Amino acid sequence: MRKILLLCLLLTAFLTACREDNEPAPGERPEERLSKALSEYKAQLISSPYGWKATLYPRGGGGYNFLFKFTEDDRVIMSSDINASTATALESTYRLKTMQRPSLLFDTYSYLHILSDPDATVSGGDWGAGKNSDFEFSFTEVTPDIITLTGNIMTSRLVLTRATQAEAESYIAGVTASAQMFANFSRFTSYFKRLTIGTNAFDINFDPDNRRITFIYFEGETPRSFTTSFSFKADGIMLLEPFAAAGVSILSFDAVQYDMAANRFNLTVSGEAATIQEAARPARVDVQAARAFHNAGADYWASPGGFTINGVEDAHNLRSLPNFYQLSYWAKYDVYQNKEYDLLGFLFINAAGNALELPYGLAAFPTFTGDGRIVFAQLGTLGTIPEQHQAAVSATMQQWTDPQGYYLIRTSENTADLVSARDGKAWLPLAR
Amino acid sequence: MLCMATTLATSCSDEEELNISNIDFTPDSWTPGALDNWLIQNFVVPYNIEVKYRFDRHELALDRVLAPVREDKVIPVMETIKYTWIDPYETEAGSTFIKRLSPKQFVLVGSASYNNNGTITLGTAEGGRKIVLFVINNFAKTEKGEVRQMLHTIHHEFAHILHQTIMYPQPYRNISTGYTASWNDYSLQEALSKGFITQYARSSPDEDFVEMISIMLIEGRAGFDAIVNSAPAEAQPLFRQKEQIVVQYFKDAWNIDFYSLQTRTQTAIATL
Repeated sequence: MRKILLLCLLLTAFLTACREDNEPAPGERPEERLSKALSEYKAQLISSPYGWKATLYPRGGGGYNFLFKFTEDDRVIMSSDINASTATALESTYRLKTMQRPSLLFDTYSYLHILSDPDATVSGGDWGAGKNSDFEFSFTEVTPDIITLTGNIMTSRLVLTRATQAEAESYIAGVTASAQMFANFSRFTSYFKRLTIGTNAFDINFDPDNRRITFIYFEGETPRSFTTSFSFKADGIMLLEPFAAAGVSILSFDAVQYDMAANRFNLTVSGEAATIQEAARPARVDVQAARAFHNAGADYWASPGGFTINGVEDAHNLRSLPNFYQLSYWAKYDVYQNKEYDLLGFLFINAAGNALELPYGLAAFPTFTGDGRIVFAQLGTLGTIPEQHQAAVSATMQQWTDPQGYYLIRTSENTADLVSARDGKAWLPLAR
Repeated sequence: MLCMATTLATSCSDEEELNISNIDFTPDSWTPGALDNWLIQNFVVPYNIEVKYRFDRHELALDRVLAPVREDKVIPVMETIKYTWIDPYETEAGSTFIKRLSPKQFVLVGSASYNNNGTITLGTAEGGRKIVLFVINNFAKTEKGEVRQMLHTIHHEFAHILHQTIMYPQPYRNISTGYTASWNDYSLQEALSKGFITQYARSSPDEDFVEMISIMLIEGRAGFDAIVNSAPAEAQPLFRQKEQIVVQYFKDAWNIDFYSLQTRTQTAIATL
């Protein structure tokens, strides 16, 4: 009896379930809502008579500007500041489609695809990866004048802003001119580039090829670095993430002008006058850096081309020595007369081509100054130096044992630079 | 109890249509342009071949970084395919041959597909239905080397369809030894010395067979002879045995005069 009761209950449950009416309200079926969303997005894209200004931030770094004009027949006309030749308008196709989410696809090749081209000679990124950018985006946030999209594969960010007629005419020309002005950065042949805003000064590292900028600052006595992507804007750059430290907050460089006579950039930062100039020494020296680096260094550090001088890599033509592999720096290589000495070893590929050999090297005693320099005092050479190597070896020795010594600039966990304290125009890049 | 069960049966015996959603998540629709119309007239109508040129992630490997095709490359590429692959076969084997056997879909990709082992993929085929062609953005009719490279892929994949439809004679498999999955670790010279026309031909007898057909067609008889003559003397008879089987296979299986097809293909490439 009890079983029957249970069964009855169960059946009743079924009966109710079967009576249910699951028909959604008209126009509310998923495919109807998706299709409606897609047509609304498209309507918005084509609604802007002068198109959209846009900035794409690939996952791989950098920021690139575009002007898009979407048309009803699923075509898009674009120009960009990726390189000098992308300022010319180019037509390609787009379509709206539901992938995981409603998406905007740029589905034939355009300037945008240069960044994700797996051919490294096209993208300037890595083989098989490009700059880890996207050309298929889903709608993340939509307001009437700003559309934020996220790359479906690499999560790159693309922000579209409704353009005015004036912007449609001048936007790409303006940012391209700005990029060309910043190309003057290559005139700085010193290691240190200093941004001065009032009484604040920071060493910066400006990488226009990858559109990334690094600020060096101090937290107490500890040096820190902050790196972010930037995009060019008319007369300046816009940072992806603001740099906020040491009492300043920098979101952009504005009203930038290059003064060729003074080899200096004049600009404003948050309305305040500022300059960028090359410098002979760091804005602030980390006095512990050289000693700490030296004390930690048991392994050797590699320098594939030796010294860079006045912006010229491999200034002593080490790579022209037959079978030259790299210059290697050993801190505390060995002991001579109870004093530890360092070695700059010349590594070569052996005759059989299957191993490295260290036929000779330069030895020097390191000393550390109170103001944070490391000075190498010449001790002599180890091994036998072939006659035809003499010139390169002597020049390297002379540079290395400059009595002014070097600042040690730690650029990452596995990279550092020994920068001449004489004028900041010579440095030895090190990596491990 | 019985009564209840009957109620259940009737109530659930459905009288209305199942409420299946007709969700079409992939409405690949766009306003057809001049290019779409050209493809319909030249490939869909005569051969029932669809040419996908707008990037479709679902047709491709998801773990590869790829770039779409440039629109202005599509017609030159497809004209070339028609002129140097379809037309010679049609002339030799009749108009139904291509209609019956051709892959039904070409997918065009602008960039190469970069593999983890340092090689790149120029083309792939799936079950005789779909051919994916990469590196379309570098295509130019005047670059005969690149034209041959692309045709290499198509002839290669089409030859797979042929032997998957009618198998080639088994003795072919025993002519060369040294098939290996790590074919790219060995030099072309080493492959030639074992009677393999390309490095990739080493990967399996099937690949060997279609590489032979493809190279013989894209290089022509003279070009093929030159390759054979450049191979070590002991390998040359192996190539001649393979050549003979290929020619006989085309005659027996498809009633095609291979040497005539070879000449037509060469003329087409030369007059492109």
